[in-house]
Amino acid sequence: MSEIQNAGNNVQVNNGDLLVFVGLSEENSDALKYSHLFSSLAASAEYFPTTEGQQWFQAYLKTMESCGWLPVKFSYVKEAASAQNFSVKNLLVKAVKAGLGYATGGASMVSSLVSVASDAVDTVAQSPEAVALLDRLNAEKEGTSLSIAVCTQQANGEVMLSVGCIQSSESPPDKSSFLVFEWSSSHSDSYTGAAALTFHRGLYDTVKSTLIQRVGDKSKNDVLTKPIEPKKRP
Amino acid sequence: MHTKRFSLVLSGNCLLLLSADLDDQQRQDAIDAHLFCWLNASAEFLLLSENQQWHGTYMDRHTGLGWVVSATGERINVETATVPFTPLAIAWHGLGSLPASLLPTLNAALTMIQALPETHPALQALGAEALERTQAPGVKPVTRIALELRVVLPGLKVLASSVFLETHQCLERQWLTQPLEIEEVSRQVTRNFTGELFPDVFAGIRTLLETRLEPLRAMYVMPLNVREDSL
Repeated sequence: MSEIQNAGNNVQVNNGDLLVFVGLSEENSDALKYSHLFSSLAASAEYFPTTEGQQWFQAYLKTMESCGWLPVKFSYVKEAASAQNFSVKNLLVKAVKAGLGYATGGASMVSSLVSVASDAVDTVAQSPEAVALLDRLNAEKEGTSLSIAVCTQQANGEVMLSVGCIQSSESPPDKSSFLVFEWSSSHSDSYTGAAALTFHRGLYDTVKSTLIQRVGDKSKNDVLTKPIEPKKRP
Repeated sequence: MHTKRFSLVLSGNCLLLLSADLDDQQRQDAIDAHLFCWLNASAEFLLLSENQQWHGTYMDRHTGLGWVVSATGERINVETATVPFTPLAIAWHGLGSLPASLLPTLNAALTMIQALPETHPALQALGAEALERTQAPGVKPVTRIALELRVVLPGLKVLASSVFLETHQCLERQWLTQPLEIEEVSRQVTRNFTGELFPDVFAGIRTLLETRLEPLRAMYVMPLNVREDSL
């Protein structure tokens, strides 16, 4: 995983998505990583994120809920054609802002965390390694999809996650940076999804071993049954 | 904390660059976790003549063993920008986002690989797995190459890059570092992935894996006998 430090916040490119951690304990950070990864994989097993964005996002949230991340509110909207141009960054930040609005209602908190999300995208955009990674991840996809998750831990221990995602029928041209890619609304359909989730540590703890076990059982089965004698060349 | 030293081990068609900060168990895990995936993919498909299917199986086995793959990439095009345009340089170029702090020692490791004599037993073994030349009546001979480089850091964290090539060029014994003629290359696929081993999952299969691989390990795994201190 690619990790970049930004003003004390941890930004991670995980399975092609951006995760931003604000003040999370290591334990909760691991919980987010594994829940997000498991949920992304589960959603991608059923839907293509670039062409079935809404179904993918709903499947992702449903799996996250099973992992202990309980959705407070959720939206998935088509971006209005009145906007002249879209950019990946602007849509992501807008989606995160919507998710945070569902979760907190506190204007100063929303403003602060939206700023964190915006800075995180800038940080990644300014990191040649992370941009190269994202460009490689998205180079072969049809259309565009990306999600960002901002996770915060309050002083009282409460953990909130705001997830924003975009889906567009447009793809960036070769050799351009995905994060600063802009496109016109007149030639494409673009959607943003937003959700706020609260973390229920107790629920996660009850499924954590199952998550590991599910992967673990498959691993044992593979190790015991898969052939390991190389084929002979003709 | 990296001490910026690496040792080199051949496993199948993969050159593993193992951080000297790995303990003995981690080194063993890194080698076994690669070898199993390589052997199973090679049991189901031919690395050189069924490469697309081979690679799909290879990556599936990684996930199955508990590798959390956080990034994958694949490009199918003849990349002319790699200088020099050699199999080793193309694979190296594909590693891309290496931590800057490790670059000097990794570049030193690359130089060491380039300096190995073509008669080195590990290079002979690599050539046997990674290279083939086929000739059908009335058709220009084709040489296929499949090579992977894998940097293993404590964690276990891995950055891997591989290249699959088809060329009509006749390659010599020093094929690894031989400049390729671009106009003769008919197919080039470069792939990379970043991942880390899910320790809780791997702990449950470590002993099974070691037992199953025991009779085969010596046939496919070979150190390159380069002193770690020199890297």
